[in-house]
Amino acid sequence: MSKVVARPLISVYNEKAEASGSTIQLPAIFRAPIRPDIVSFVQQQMSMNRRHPYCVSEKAGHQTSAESWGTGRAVARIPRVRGGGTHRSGQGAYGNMCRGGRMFAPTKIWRRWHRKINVNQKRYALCSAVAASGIPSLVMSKGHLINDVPEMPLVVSDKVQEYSKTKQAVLLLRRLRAWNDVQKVYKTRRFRAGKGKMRNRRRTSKLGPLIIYGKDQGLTKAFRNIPGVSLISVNKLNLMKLAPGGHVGRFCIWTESAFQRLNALYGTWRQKSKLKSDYNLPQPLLTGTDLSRLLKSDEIQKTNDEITFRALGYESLKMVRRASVKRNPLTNMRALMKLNPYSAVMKKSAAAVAEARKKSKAALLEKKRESLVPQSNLPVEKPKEEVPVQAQVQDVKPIQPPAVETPKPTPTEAKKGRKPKTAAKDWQVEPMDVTPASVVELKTATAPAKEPSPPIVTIPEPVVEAMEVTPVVEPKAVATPVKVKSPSVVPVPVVVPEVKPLEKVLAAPVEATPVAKPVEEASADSVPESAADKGSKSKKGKGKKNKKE
Amino acid sequence: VFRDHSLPSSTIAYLLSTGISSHSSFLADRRRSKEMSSSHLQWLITRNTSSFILKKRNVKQPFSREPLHLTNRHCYKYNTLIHKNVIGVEPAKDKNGFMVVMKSKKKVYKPKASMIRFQIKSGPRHSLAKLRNIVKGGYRKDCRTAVLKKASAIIRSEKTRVSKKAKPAKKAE
Repeated sequence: MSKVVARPLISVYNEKAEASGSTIQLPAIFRAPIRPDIVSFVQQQMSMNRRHPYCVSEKAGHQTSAESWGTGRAVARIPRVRGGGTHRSGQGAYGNMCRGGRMFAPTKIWRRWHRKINVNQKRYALCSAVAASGIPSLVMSKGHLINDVPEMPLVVSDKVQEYSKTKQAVLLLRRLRAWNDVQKVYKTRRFRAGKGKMRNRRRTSKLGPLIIYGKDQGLTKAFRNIPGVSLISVNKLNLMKLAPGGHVGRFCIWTESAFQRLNALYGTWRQKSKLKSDYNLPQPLLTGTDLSRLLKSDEIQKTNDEITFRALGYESLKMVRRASVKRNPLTNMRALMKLNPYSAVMKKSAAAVAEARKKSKAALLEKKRESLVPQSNLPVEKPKEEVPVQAQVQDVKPIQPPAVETPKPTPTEAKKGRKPKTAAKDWQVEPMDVTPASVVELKTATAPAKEPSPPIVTIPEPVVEAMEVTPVVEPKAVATPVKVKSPSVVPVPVVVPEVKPLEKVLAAPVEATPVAKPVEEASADSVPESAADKGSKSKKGKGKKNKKE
Repeated sequence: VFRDHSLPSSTIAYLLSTGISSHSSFLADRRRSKEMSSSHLQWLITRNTSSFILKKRNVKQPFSREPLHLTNRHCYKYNTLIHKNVIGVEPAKDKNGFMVVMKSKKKVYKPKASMIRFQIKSGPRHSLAKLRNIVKGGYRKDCRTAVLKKASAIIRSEKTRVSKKAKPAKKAE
């Protein structure tokens, strides 16, 4: 199978850390599968190979001729040292619990110290480690400070191999912005914790960059004194240096010749390795690693296999299961409406009912108050009452019951283009019937608040007031026509006994219409006025009404 | 993202190991960042072993010490090393506004050039609006709230505190 890997060109940097212009195509090894599990395993095995055997002397604890005294001597039955004349005589011997006895399971020299690792496995691990060293995020995760490094992987010209002075080496690292990594090493120099201190492992520090060269022409001597820097030849790549601690992603600086040798050493998938007999780079299981692209790909999106789809986390074919925030329908209106679309209607009518109740209560209150106080005193009282009434009305403002009446010739309605809602009307008939009287009183109550000019006490005025109520409920658009219509009190009382006007009082938007009907003819001027005034106010009203509707 | 928790992550990493494309000409021109180490693969490698992870007692999800991190919690979405697109906010040195740091999509493999920094200092409201526009415009929409939160925290920290100084002055009088 022919495989093509998109391998970009890596620029080679000269001693001044400028892109020298020459480029090398990325060796295929940098595209090898990255298997941290294999790397970790192989590294662990490899690290066992540098162990020195240790054990206790096999004679230890047995260089006595102790024998147990047996029972009957009121001593433990452990073998005891024979003879006399010394402290040692009579002491326990041989047992691991005895002082001077042999230890439990004395360590043996023939313990399996070293591990055999399959060659292919070793190479796999190495390829993974090299591949990982080319990915900036993995190198940064390992802890190297490569934020300012010009490119990954970092390739330097072969001139570097001829360095002989540490000064040159330091200068190069500085220019390549790799010095930060070396400084990190300086900063983390400390004494080891534990007994290793007295076992010739006194100091520890982090690791710095790894320099991989093709030919050592003095380079080793130049770099070796810089703390943290390691050097290896390409021909002898070492997993312990490329993935110290079993973690991939060491910061590597390649020389040009080293970089170019990689293809010959490990092969490209197309071509076997030239230097290793019959070796080629490891084959990955998946051709693409980007999971999100996979999931969005046509092949998967068009799957008709329900099981596969479910396995991929989809609720059902074509539907992606997405985590959504649960919204409580009892508190969140939208959630409630999703579950029960009729709830919107219910809420509106409930609002209307509440409003009707409020008004009827207010009307009752007014009635009671009126009966107590003579009418002459009403004006005094009214200012007091104004506040609560006004408050009521204002409260009503936002909560506007849906339009009730079907035919609405009034200019207000015409402008707003409202459509009547027969359902609401029917619904509102009941309260109307119950409290016809209250309506009138209600009107009186509201009137003083709204209109200062006309005398408020008279009964007919209540009608006017009632009209005023309508504007209150409805945006100010209605107010203007009402005002105009005040002179036409006469026709108004005619309207009062009618059921319609009551309805309209209760239903804010509708209120204008009943009154308007008789008045229309009378106040032809009012129409244009109201229309004119509605310029700005009506817009507001429209907005609100539209929302309600 | 699909996660099969029955498999150990090493196996998943194995399954997602870098692949070779079988479409020759198609991929020849592709940038390597798209093929090689996808963010998913990198996440699987670094999710448990990374120098930036900070594990604390009684806290299940580890913290992240990455400098540009928006939430400081170690997770796939907000990781700053893994993705091509990364947006971050830093306090500006002159205490005026904040620095937005963005990763250039094209220069993922050039660490020095990949991070673009620019300062936004047009007052609190406008800077946030500008930042919002950047994110809205498609650069990491999913990080919107986190970025704005951090930016507003920076802005808030840059405000001088006057109230505390005023009180002792009054007392002196």
